[in-house]
Formats: sequence, C-alpha cells, structure tokens
Amino acid sequence: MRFASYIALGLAVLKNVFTVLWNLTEKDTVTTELPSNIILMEILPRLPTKLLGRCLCVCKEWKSFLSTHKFAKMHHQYVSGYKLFQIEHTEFGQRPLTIRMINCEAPNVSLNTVHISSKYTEHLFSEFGVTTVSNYSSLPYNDYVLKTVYVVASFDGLVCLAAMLPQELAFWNPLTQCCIKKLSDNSCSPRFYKPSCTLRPLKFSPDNISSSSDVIGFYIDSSNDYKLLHMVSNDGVIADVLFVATERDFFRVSLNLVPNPFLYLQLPLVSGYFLGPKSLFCGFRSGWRSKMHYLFRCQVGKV
Amino acid sequence: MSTSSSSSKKIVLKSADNETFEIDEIVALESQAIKNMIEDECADNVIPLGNIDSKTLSKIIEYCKKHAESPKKDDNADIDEKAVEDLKSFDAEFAKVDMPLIQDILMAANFLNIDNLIGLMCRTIADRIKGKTPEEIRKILNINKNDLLSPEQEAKAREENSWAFD
Repeated sequence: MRFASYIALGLAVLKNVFTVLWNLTEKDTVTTELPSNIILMEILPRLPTKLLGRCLCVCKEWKSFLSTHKFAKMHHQYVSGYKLFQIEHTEFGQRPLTIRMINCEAPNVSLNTVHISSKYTEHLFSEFGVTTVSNYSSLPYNDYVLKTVYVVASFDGLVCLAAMLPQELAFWNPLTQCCIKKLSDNSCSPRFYKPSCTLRPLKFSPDNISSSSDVIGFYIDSSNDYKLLHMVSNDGVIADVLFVATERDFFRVSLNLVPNPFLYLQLPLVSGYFLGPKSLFCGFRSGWRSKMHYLFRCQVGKV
Repeated sequence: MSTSSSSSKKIVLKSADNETFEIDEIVALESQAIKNMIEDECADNVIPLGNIDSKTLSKIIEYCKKHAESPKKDDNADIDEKAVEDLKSFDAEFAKVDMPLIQDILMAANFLNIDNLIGLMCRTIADRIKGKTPEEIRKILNINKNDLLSPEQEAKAREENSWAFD
C-alpha cells in the first residue's frame, strides 16, 4: 500500500515537471507565493463552482477553507447571477410553471426549457400547478419515475424534487449530482406528492382551493443550514402550521407572523413563493380576477 | 478636460527605482491609502513608494487615470452605457499581461488599497486558472509544498469530487 502511494507520488511529481516544461512558462506563473488572505478572500470566491471541486485537491489550507460556511457565503456573492434553475409562473390553465436549466459555467449560453413528456402527464399535471420534468438525463430518477417528478423549490443551486410514484422528496444538487432521497415518511411530510391528495380533481378558483396551493421553499436557518419549509393552506387560507424538512427528517414548527393588516382579511392563498432566504417573504395572489400580489413576512419558530 | 486637470493640484509619486511620476490629485485619490494620507495631511510634496517599481507604478497610474476620468457609478443612476462598455474593454486590455506583472500590480494595488484594481487582478488570476488541474493550479500560484494533501488524501478528495474533473 505504501509502495503504491510512493508510485502515485512519483507520478504526480513527474506530471508536475511535465506541466512545468510544456504547458506553463514563467510568464504564466507567479514568482513568489501570494499572501494567503488574497488567495482565499479575493481569488477563490471568484472561481466557477466546478473549479472549486478541483481546488479542494490543491492543498490542505484550501480544502479546509473551501468547506466553511464563510466561504460559501462569499462565493455566493460572486456567482449569485448564475442560477441553475429558473422557475417561471404563468397563467393558470396554460402551462403553470416553466423550468429552465442554465449552465452555470457558461451562463446565458445554454438555456434549455424542460418540457412535458406526454399528453397524459400534461393533462394530469397542468391541473396541479406543476410541470413535470422529463428528457433530462441527469435528474436522479429513471424515465418511468420521471413522469411523476416535479421541481418543488430551488434555491442557491439546490433543488427540491418531489416524486409522486415512489412518494418521496429529494434534495438534489444538479452540479455535483449529489442527491439525498427517501426522507422518512411521517405525519409531517408534505402532503402534495402523495397520490391520495394530489390525484383528486382540482379546480383553481377562489371557491375551491386545495392542497395544491400550499407553499414550499428553501430558507436558511439560524445555524446557516438549508431547510425546506412547507406552508400549509387550510381551505385556501394560510394555516399557522408549518412543516420543515431537513436532510434527515420532517418536523413541525410554529409560524410567527410579522403583523400585517392584509393578513387579517383572510386572503385566499392562491399561489405563493419565497422571495428571500432569511426573512421568508411570500407573495400571495389575492384573487382570481384582481391579480394583485400581497407580500408578508414571517419567521419560523420552534413548537 | 485638459484645462481642468492643469489647474488642479498635483501629487508626485516616487517609485522604488527613484523614478518620479507627477499626477493629478484626482487620479491619486483612486488609491484609498493615498487619499487617507492626503486627508491626514501627512503627504509631503513627494510620496515615496519604496516597494513598487516604476514599471508597475506606471501601469497603476494608467489604470487610475482611466478610472478617475470615467463617471462613477454612484454619481448618477443613468450613466452612459457607452462609458461603462469603454471602461470594460479598457480593463480587459489592461489585464492582458504576464503573470509576474499581474502579481506585482496586485500586490501594489493591495498596498495602495485600490479596490477595483484588486478585483480586476484577482478576476484575471481566476480566469488564468480556469480549466486547470490541481497540479497546474499549484504551479501557477506557487503553492507552498509543505501543505499538500497526502497521496491517499488527494485520491480520496478526487474521488469525492469526480464531478469537477469531467
């Protein structure tokens, strides 16, 4: 084992030498080591995400710094324009949601709109305010299951997928292909990916609003961790019940609403989405015809 | 432009190799460090910059002149788009130099505290290591050899991050 590692080290050194000889001349390299604060604070945060995976192998100092939350925040400032998924809400009745994939290495170059696969699923899912994702090979599901998969939320390049067929929720990072699936099913798990709830015929109108008007989105909790928040609508009015999903489990939390006069009007919850990571701004449409948006802010507390 | 600049106050910078550069105060103010010196009134007629050679200093002055002439972003909300484009292409041309000079400019900009220039140089270095392997990155940035991962650790890190090596 040790012998093998010496060979590997020898090869690495040799490769290094070749690199120096043939690829990189003195004009391409710095003459002395740069101060580490400049490298860590100024250069690394400007690198594209994919290159950071390689930078983890450069040296120990980089590896430990790249793994910190501090770095993740700094990096996000520079790359926040490079969204991986774009979710567009359009009018009901037509395709309610369009999901576009953006190549984060070459932004605005490859914009693929993900389309609905068959007429059957189009008919089925247009009823639920979601678009099925298909014909996109890197999604962590096979073709059969894919027909029932939709994107629930996306934030900071992290995507939440719901698969109706295996009845599971998945956290997925499209860049690293890292996927956490099959969260334990309990009474707090989101209801709308379960066929028993979602296969009911639904109509979008203020008089008949159902579980499909729930809101789900990512937020960042006080420990800087990503959590998924499921805001339940109760007969079209927001209920004070929230469920939070982490990588491991679902649990129940309370909602502390920041006082807002609009809230007491019992506005029907038609559609909502998260606008910010920490303050949890949600936009709700007040009604079918008025097309007005109401915003409110809430904070998540513990039960 | 020429009338206003000739009437404005001048600042003289002296490089490590004793070359002097006379510039308008407004150009020198691009450097936060010089600005602080002037505000604290501890700047004499000549500001000696003992760690910056004349080649680097003339590049930095070229940059500061261009940026001092351009309208600032916070001055006016609807600034000329053409001016922004012009500044962008100037920055792109300015960065087309060898790595040793980029390093010198970066270290000098860091000393003189010129934020935009630090950003431009770091962006340039970031661009130069795009698509490179860990070995090449080490070479380009002259990374300290005492701090490398062991072959086992590196193999593990590569395996865990295979998505980055496609």
